[in-house]
Amino acid sequence: MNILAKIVKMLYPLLILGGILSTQSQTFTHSGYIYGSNATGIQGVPVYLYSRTTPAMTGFTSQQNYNGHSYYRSTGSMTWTAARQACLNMGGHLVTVTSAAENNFIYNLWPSGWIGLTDEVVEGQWRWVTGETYSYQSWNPGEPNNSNNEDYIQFVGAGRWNDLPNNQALPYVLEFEYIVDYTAWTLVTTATTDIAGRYIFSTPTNPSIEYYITFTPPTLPTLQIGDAQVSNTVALGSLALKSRDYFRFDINNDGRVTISDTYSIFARRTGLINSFIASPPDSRIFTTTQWSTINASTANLKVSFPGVQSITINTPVSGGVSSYYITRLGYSN
Amino acid sequence: MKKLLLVLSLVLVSLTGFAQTTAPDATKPYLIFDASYNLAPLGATPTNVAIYYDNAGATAIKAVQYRFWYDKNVFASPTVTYTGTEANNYFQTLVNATEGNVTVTWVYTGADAAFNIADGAMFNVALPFKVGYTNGAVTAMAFSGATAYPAYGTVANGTDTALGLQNYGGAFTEPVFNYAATFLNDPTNPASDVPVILQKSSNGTTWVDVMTVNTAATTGVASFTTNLDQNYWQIRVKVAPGLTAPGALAAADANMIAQIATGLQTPTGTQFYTANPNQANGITISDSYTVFSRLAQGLLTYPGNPDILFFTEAQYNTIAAATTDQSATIPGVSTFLSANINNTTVANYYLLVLGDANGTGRN
Repeated sequence: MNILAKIVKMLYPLLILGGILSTQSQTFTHSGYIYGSNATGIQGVPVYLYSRTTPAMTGFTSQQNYNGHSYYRSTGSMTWTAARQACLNMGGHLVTVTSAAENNFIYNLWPSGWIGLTDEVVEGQWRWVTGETYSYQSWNPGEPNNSNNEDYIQFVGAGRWNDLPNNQALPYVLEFEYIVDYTAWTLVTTATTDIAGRYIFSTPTNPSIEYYITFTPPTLPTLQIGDAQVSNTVALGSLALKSRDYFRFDINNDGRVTISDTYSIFARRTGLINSFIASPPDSRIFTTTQWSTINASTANLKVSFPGVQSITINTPVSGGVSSYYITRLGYSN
Repeated sequence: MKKLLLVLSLVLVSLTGFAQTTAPDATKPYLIFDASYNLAPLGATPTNVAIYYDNAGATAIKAVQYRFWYDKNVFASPTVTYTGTEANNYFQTLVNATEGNVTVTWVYTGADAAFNIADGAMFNVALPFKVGYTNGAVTAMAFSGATAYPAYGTVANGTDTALGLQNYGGAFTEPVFNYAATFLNDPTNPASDVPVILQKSSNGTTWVDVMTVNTAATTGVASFTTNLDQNYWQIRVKVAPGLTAPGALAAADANMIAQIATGLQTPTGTQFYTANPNQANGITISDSYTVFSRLAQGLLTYPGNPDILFFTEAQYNTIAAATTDQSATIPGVSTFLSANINNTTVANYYLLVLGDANGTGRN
């Protein structure tokens, strides 16, 4: 082993410690805006954050799922062979890494510890503990070097692999070939959009917790004179007719915006009519991408972009931003 | 008689027009332009154009939208007002001065389920003249033009219904000008059947006949009612030369002239004219002869002299009050041209029949 390789190996414990610390005290955040049809935020929309977690597993930290498999990391350390047995005892196996994506997934979560690769049977013939084909490799430069009979593999920096002898105690990753059952979804918290239409979630988390976010259009407020007036500016031609106007002001759903639509707003406001005649959806929710298309058009896109009545964001990314637009029939925003 | 009634009817139509403000049918509600509108005087207040609504059908209408066109070369941006009586409404207009059109929306905003737009004048369009307009031709109002806009009414459930746009003409006529010219033989003796011509001129030099009205027998009045912007036109009345009064002459007139000529009678101020039909050398026996000769020969006119001389009221008063011959300074005219009569409504004019010494006059 050259001097540089020895220095790197001396640093491995520090890298392992850093990896362990990186999984502590995490916070899930997600935010976004809910806008009306004139790009003004809608205040008071309740947005719900639900979560579910895997069952607690003694001796292991958080569960993570990838590609239909569940992964855990041990809280304690042991030799490679002991780790292999511990995994078998749990009904799983020491993690096998058969692709760069899976390698990144594991390493980014837990950048240290044993993985289930060994050449203990025939030196130089590397095998996964599951018997899966050994094809993908991510060796650290100069590895494997079998220095002092190193037959077992650990993660080192940048997701690279290094061979070690079986005389060192390391944490390890337990893999199941299936998704371990979740708990039931439970409401974590409700964020109500502020005056700018913004909602924010920020809650303690760990990698075993999975989330989804959902909301539906808010209860329609009382129609205002201003809503009818804006509708009338479109009917009159003071404002050029745009695609969004079909969604918000074509009250009678006849494919045009006329004085009759303005009348409908006034009439509903004063109680002359209790519901709009054509009964299209009163509210429609659009993604920002959909809205960008709609907002740039002057055509009636109600057929090609019908919108939805509720939004569910599955497995939202922590730190992500998810914004939406809502059109409400008869409302200027 | 029938012909007379027909002529009278045509005159009435041409002068005042018939208001045409009702729907042509009951198939749908209509917005309507009348046949004609009075053009405001030049430089005065805007020209007002009423747009009428009429719904002969049974369906209640809650709102309307439409567009109309005006003469953008004559008028500046118009102002449209709602002239109906419904207070609960939202009314908007959009003027396109480039194209010369106005888009209008009117919607009922109240809570009365039985509301129906009332028939009658619904909108007024105030059209100010553009700077520099000088009484040129004005294109009629229209409901159609270059850029189409769908006309709709609204029924109770909030759906569109066809809105008819009926234009009975929408033409503009100049402001009505009224004038009464009274022609008198003397203050108590109206002159009958004098053909009085109303004339207009844009420059005071070239005059155009507008219309001719004969004075009434009982009043001597020729009444004019016509569309004429007196803020633009110079206006006057004229009586053409050659007017005669053969019925005014009799032997008594010739006798009276002879008595004046021999000094048996002193002439009045007007007799210096009426007793001097040859208009030469004062009142002489020759004037008496002139009348006798005309009567004897059955002539309708005097050879070389007019039958009638015209005077303004001031001139006549001077003559009538005089005891001497005023003809040197007030000769009278055989072709009568009034001063401009702009911004006046009545005036008296006088005529004297030469040879009519006893003042029978033109009756």
